[in-house]
Amino acid sequence: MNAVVFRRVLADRRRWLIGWSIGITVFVVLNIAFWPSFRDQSDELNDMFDKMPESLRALFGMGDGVDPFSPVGYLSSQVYTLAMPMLLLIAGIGAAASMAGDEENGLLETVFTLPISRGRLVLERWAAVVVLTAALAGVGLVATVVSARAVDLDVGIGSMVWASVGVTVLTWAVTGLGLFTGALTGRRGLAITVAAVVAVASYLITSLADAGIGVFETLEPLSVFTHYDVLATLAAGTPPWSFLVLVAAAAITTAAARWAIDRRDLRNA
Amino acid sequence: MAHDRPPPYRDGVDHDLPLPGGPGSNTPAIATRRLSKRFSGRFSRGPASGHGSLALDELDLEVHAGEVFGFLGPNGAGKTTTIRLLLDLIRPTSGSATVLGLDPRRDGVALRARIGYLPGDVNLPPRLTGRAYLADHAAIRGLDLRSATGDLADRLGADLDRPMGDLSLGNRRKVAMIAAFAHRPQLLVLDEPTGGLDPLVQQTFRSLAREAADEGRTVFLSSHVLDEVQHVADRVAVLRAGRLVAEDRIDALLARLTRTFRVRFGDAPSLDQFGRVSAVTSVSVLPGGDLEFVLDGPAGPLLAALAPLHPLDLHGHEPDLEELFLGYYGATHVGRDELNASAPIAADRTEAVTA
Repeated sequence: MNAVVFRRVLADRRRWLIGWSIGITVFVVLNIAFWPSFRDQSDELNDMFDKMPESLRALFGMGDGVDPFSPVGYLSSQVYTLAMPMLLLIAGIGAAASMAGDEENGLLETVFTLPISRGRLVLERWAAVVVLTAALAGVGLVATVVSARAVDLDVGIGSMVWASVGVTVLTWAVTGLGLFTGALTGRRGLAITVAAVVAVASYLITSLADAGIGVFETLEPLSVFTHYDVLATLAAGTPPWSFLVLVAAAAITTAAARWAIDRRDLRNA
Repeated sequence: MAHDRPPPYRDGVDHDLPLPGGPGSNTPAIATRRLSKRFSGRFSRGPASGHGSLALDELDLEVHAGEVFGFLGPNGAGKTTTIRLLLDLIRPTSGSATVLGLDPRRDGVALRARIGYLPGDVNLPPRLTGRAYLADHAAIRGLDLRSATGDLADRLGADLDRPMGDLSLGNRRKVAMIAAFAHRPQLLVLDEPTGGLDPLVQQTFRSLAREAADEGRTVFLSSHVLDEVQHVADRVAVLRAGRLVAEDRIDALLARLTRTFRVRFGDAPSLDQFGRVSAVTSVSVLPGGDLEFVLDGPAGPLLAALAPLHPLDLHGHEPDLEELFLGYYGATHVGRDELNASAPIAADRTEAVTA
């Protein structure tokens, strides 16, 4: 067990990791930096938000009886509901689809003629994506904790840790689908599209279901964002059981990817 | 997993156990039985027939352990498809293949530990150096190949310290060649190995292939150029449109081959006088007045007939695959348009007299 492929992906992604770390840090710091002025204008903003329809408010990550102008409401709407998952998903889907990209470019052809099974190759590459996305979530967590301290955004560390765990398992579930699609078809573009469509559709379903729109409430259990449930996580400071649904989804897509790559012809570059 | 076991040999030292398909074994290195591959829909290549296209049509092939086997055919004949089937990169539509006595799919990992493969299209990670790339391969094989890699790099003149994206095609091919040879595999599968290499390196390659065979290892050498295999192969098979059309010893094949000579004269002689010269199968006049002779036997009688006519210049050219086919089957059996061979077809022929 020397995990050559795993280590190679990590080495090749060093610049990628640095770039995304900087991007996520800047994004988090800029968003949290507005907390003091936001807090000071909360009365006026409250009036404005009260006039918004419930569905629109849900889209901004508010609802469930959490005051959007509380520290938890602010951190949820500004960082964890949309921005952090979006950045991690873009980074993670690209990384997960890169195996199909390498297949399209003919770079996998020689690897698959080495004494390593296809399933093992998929697992090692997937393990690298898991580690890299967890590392990015960790960077986001550190940036959040430090900048929240700096502007007196009073949210418990446990809340932020569990929210970051949530965003990590959310990313694994969605990128796992990208991995599976890439393993099934060998097409990078399709892998990215399927994962991205599922992510966006999930976000809309959960938001609109939160707003009480019936048809979306029916679909709600199918959405990964429903199981992510970050506002409740931040408010409670403990993880919901539904995180396990996301972990299970990631495990199932990984197993499916292993199965899929082994049953087809590899594409010729 | 199978490769968690210790590899059968380490650092290029051949193991003592007689493995199927190995030195001293009667098991063929490669045996295919009615091996067929049909590509469906948009992946199709080659002539379409029925659903999708049949890239390989019931191939029966036997490559003996320890020989250099030339696998010839024009582009699109199914050579690379065959190789990809043997390596389990793709799966057969029907039929079966055994490589070194193993099943490419079921025993894939154990089998690929004993194979070295040089792809026709050399795609290498552009930002990686050759050294890092080869170190990865060795690590996946569980072998320490640093000295073998260094020796091969010296012989081939390969640059292992620059990112491979900065290397020319020939230099990238050298890296890929080291990857194929370094672990001294029992079977070398080489797809169009010398494209983009200068003649000196081609010579080194031939030596490497010959040395491998002399050590009892098997070399499977695919090419669309006869010249690439005729100096090194023991036997050849010729594939066309997915079907095996010939399989023979290379010397027997070459003996049947026709050769072409172009001759320039000060005063063009009449064609008639060559009609009865032994071994001349046809004479034609090229634009500019040169004569082109096609021979299927010794050149002596033709030279004797030419000498009194004061030829100014004599030029023979390397036989190509097209001529090989023509020599085997005659032009009527193999349409020229079907022969998507690499060598240019002499389209400038204006008149032909068949002897």
